[in-house]
Amino acid sequence: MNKSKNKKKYSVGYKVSFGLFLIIALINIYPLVFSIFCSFKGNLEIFQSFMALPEKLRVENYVTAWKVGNIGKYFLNTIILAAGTLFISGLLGAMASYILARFRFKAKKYVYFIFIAGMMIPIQAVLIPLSYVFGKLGMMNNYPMLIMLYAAFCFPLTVLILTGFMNSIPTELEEAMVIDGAGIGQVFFKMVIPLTMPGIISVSIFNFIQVWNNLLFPLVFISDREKGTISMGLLAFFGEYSTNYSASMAGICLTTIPIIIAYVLFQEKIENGLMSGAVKG
Amino acid sequence: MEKIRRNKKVICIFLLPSLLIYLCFEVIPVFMSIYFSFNEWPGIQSVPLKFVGLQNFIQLFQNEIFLKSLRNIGIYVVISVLLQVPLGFGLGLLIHHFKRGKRFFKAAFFIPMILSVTAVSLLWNFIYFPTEKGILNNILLKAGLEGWMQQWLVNPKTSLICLIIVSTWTSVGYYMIICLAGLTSVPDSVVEAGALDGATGLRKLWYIYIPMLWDPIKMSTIMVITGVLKIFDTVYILTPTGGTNNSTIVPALLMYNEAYRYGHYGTGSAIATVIFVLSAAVSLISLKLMNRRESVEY
Repeated sequence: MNKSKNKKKYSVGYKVSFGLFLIIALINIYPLVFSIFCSFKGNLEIFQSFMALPEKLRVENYVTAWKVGNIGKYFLNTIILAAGTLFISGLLGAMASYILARFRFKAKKYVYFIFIAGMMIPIQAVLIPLSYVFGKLGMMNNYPMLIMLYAAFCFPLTVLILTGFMNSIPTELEEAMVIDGAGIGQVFFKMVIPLTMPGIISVSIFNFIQVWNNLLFPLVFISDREKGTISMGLLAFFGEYSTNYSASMAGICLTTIPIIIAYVLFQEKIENGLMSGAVKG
Repeated sequence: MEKIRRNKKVICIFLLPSLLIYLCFEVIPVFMSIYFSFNEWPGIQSVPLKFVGLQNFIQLFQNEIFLKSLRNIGIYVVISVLLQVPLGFGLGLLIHHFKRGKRFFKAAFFIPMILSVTAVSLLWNFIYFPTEKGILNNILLKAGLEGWMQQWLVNPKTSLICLIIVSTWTSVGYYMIICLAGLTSVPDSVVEAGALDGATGLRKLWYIYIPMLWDPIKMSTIMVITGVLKIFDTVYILTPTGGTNNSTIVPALLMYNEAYRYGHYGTGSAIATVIFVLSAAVSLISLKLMNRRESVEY
């Protein structure tokens, strides 16, 4: 791609290449802009021009998606699943990390290794045995089970990151608290958790995206449509309303716009959070 | 304090909840899956497992569709690595170079990464729509290139590359961010010294940036490979049955279809085992190759 020779003076070459890059960036987000335009258009209007702004804001598309497509319900379901997963993986993960970072026992090295090895396990590897067991025990459509399943897949990265984080906290702080008569629970909740918060937030953002995006687990373990997640709901709505383009687009936008807003508000945090997944390898 | 640090009760209370969940829902099922792959089971609770030894694997490696899925995933991996890593790092370097509009550029390439894969794939379904109502076909039509119009996802010649493009669109921003993070650890003095030595343009890229970013490049390559090996969502949504003549079948989709569409749970488990072994092998080999760099500061 074009590179300017002198960046200080903003030469013609620099400006041209900057302009080109801007166009590439705009083309790259065009599908998203397009989906937002279409979600406000009429069905026939969509095909008249892919560039044009909507003639008027047809909010009824969103009403259809929200009511008929039940997107609101699926949205809430996914939030419940994600919140449960983040709570379990954050709290229990931090507890385990604290032990692995600070305590001494023989099997510690092995326990840590077992946790980290989980990063190599693709979710496909557990689907069939779990559907066998869940079916046997009648645990399909069971949120607590699903939350534990999601959390299980969040633990390896969570433990890796939080253990590293806790290792960097000086031990003197804990010792001072213990000398002042605090129990280990107090030390953990009053000192370790607050000091580890940045790490917990980072890894939770990563975990949230995993849960939010996951299609395979709900596809296999949720058969009751009332309990479906956003991915499933969107797919089902799309299957039934595939001829109603504008309502489908409104459905897509309902799931993407909140994430885009969250990203615009917390750009740095979200990028850093997702970077925490980059230790995976 | 020393006493507390060896207190067995505290260790158990803190460690066991997560360890048990993790073992029950992730580690034990993997071993069960390997066991399942030596059995036949039709997916009906009242029918017991039937041990069949290596039969599932023997049949699998004689099954043309499975071999095709391995071939497709091979192509998918190679093209994805060749597209995503250079594009991601190229974008990162350009953003680094331009200095202005950083936030906007980062957002423009990163947002597809955080959106739900389902929403993104459905959106691309509109782009690839087979008639002239599809965005891509419509653009070609208006540009007077009717001859180029395709049934993008139906035509076995174009379907796989179309999927790879969707994956690339969603992932490239991630490698861009990794590149930008890597660049913060490249000291300005090195770049300036290089410039004094007459390194400009491509030479600067080749002699300064690529060597300095070598670790993030390696890491990104491994992430692309392990990510693609288990790809499912995009392929399932855009071509649910694996495309015309299985042109887009990949192991994860074949596993899902074998088990949950046709009730061949033994075969499905055997495929799951193959996927697991492949990604574990890639991860282990890459860990060996990179073991001098175990942690990433952030």
